Amino acid sequence: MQPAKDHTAIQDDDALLAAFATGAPDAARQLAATHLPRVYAVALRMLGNQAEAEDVAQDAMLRLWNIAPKWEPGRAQLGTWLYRVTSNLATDRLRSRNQSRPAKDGAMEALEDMTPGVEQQMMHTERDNALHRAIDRLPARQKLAITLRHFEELSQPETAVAMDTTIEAVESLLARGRRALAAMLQPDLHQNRTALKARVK
Amino acid sequence: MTEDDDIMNRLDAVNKTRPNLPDGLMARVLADATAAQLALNPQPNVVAFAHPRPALGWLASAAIAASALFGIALGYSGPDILGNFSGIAEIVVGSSTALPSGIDELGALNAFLAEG
Repeated sequence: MQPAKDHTAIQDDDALLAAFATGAPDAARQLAATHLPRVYAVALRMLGNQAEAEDVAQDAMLRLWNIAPKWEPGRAQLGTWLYRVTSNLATDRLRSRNQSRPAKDGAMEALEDMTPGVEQQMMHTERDNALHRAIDRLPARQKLAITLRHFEELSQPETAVAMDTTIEAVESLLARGRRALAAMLQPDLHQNRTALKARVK
Repeated sequence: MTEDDDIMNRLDAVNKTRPNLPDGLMARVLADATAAQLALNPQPNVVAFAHPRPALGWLASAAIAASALFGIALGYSGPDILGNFSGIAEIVVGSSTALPSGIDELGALNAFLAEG
């Protein structure tokens, strides 16, 4: 992301939110068009379930509408604030899901819950499919760090703000997440390396 | 190539297209926004029903009760009771209780008409 672009985005979002608070009819539509797809994508990647992701996305946007009159322009980036709200809501859902169904593999179940349309949109190849399944098995914080850094393409400082933590903690979560992914995908990676070596020979 | 490089490459290459929004989600979010906006900026033409002022309510109740009691008394005693209240007959029946005065007025009218 370009810093100048970010600055413009902050100003635009702040102006739109101020307009929303004073009753401007089109401000909500513009804010939702920009932020709802991001919010929904993070919720879906975190939860792996369309219905739950919809609920979380709607709830996160509702919090945005309610905070509009109290929003302080320039103090925070709206997009990052929304990522934080969304990730907190999704993490709460994951926790309550784990508490209510501790014996089951929530991640696999969540993947089964996904509608074929969404699954096809998100996982174009078998390789992607395996990677997504592995990401879904990561602990919530590692999954969130990987999602924000690699799918939403936030910088590490932005990821740290969105996760309400330090840059060092994000680096650590990303490193542990990648190691865990490597371990889960080891047979697959081994197969790739063998294929690469065969091609070089 | 290390395992970490492999994973980084796969994460970089993975399809990052955001999923399409499900049908109805945008509409629900915008409906929430409209409700929140209305709560923040109530429409000026929306007014609450006004309750009658309590003092006027008591006054009206007392007047109705007095009228009812007076009506009952009138029913039992007939119009003679009106003579006990000086001037009330004009208010109630719209004419005087002094019966002969009407006759005098009629005689004067007839005299006037006869003179042409």
